[in-house]
Amino acid sequence: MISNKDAFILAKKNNKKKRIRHIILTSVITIMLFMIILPFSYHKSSSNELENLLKHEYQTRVVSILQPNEEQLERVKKFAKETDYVVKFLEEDVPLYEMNILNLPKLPTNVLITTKSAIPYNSPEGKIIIDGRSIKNEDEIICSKRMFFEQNMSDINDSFEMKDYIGTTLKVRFRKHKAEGFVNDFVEREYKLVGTFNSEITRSSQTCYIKESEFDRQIPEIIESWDKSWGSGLYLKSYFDIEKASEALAGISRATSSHDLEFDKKLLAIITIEAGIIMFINVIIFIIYLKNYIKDNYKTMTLYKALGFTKKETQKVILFQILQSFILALAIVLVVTFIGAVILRIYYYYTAKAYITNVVKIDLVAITIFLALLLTIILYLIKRHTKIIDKFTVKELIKE
Amino acid sequence: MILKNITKIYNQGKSNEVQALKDISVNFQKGKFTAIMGRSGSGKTTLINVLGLMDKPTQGTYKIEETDVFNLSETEQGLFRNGHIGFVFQSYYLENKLTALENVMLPTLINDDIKKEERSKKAIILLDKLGLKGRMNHYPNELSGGECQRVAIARALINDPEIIIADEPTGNLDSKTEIEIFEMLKSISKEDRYVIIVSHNETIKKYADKVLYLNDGVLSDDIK
Repeated sequence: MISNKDAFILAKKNNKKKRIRHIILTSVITIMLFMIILPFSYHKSSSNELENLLKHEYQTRVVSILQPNEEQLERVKKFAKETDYVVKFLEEDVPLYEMNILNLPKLPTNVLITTKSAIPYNSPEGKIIIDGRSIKNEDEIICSKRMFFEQNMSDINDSFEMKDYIGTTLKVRFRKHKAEGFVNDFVEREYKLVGTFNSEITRSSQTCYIKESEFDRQIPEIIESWDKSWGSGLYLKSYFDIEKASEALAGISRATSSHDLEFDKKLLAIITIEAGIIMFINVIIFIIYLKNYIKDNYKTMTLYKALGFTKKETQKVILFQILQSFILALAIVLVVTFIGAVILRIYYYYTAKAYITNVVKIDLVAITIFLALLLTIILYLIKRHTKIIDKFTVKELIKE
Repeated sequence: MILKNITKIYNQGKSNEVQALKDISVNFQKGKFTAIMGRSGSGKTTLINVLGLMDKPTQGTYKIEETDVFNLSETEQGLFRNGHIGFVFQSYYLENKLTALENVMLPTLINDDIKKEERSKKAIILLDKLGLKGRMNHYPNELSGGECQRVAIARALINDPEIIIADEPTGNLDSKTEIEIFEMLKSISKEDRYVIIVSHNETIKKYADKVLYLNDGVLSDDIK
């Protein structure tokens, strides 16, 4: 039996001067990889946000009622009762909890805003620690790598690095915030900053995380509400009901939802379907390419048979030939992807004047499934198209 | 080396049925240079396939040194071919991406009887013997037709087989090189091997110990 080393060397020599094939293979695999990364990784990247919203979907389809008088309130209640697309009417003001850091030389505002309803505990899971480490104890805290002096700022000049404060103790104040202003009661606690994590530039990037048990201790109240809104409101069945409800309650209502989840879901589905189709086409191209590649080697296989190679030995050499091209192609893809990612980061850093790190995360499960699928295709095609070796005779060599 | 009642029918039972070999029985002698001559389409390539275990006949038996080789499995036949049979083809069929030395070493990759460190030594000795010492690191496209055929002969000999089967080995060579190759094959047959050459080249008669004629699938001692 031919040894793996000999088969590898022979395959390497057989692959010589087949660079064009490598390039074709590389391009196909690159596109396939890109296609599989895009939908799955896009989904993964936005999954935290999207999943949280989907869990409490009705809370994102809200029409606020602006300080109604009694007559107006009765009108809204009647409307809520009689209209089939109204899920719920919530009368009360909805408080928020706000967390402020009090002892930094440059003070960020409104850190970690939560209602503890849509997101009972805003988990740091999935956050990439850049400096230091993640939280382990209840007296520890981690924060976004960059904090802004004011909310809604995105200019990098209006921000500062939190990594400089790793190891220091942060004095944190938890305060309840209602529509009419802050509630006087507040709690102050001290936490040691143990790490910073990567975050995009949005309002929610002003985030710090403490342990869930500590979070529950400081904010024991569970409030049924929608996120970032005050006042009474109507929860609606569909995003498209917002306009209808706003019109019906004109003068006292305000559409507060800014997120069309139906659109998000459709967009994701379209991207997935499109990517799926492109990937399917690429898989077909890959199969045709491999089939032709194996068939191009029929003369060599006949020669190997004449020299005494068994079918398994010939299959081994062909497998190594294909794997060598495949691994080379993957290596090129990784290098190109890495360079591309670095260029994109530099581009965003200097052109967007912002610290943008919301990069698409690679879904390792999708990649593993993808590689396993390609390997299965390779093995299947080799087995299928080399079955004929037993029938090869000298005539195969003479064929033009 | 005995072939008995060998018949090969292609597309049996179909309208385009062809009987390529018709009840061939022949006994090849060790140490003899046997030439099989015949016109194009007479069944020469089919006979080579059968002799080299590349194809099975429709019927008949084939014994090499008491082994009924058609009873061997595909894998066993492969191993048998590797150790006992050497092929030389008209168009050499050397691997273009391998040097002359690597081409000669190719059959040893699957021969467990030859140690790894012995492979190149053995190939170098053979190439030297065939006058290619200075050409062993050249690729086939850097060699002349005669040199390529000598590399192919060295490849056929590397595992020390008892049987050498050559299919029109001089078909692509000039008359001077043709004589060299025939003489080389003749001397190889003297090393107690079966050397069987299939050709339609009349020159071979001068070198062959025995000449057989294949005509429409029938093998005989005479030209018909």
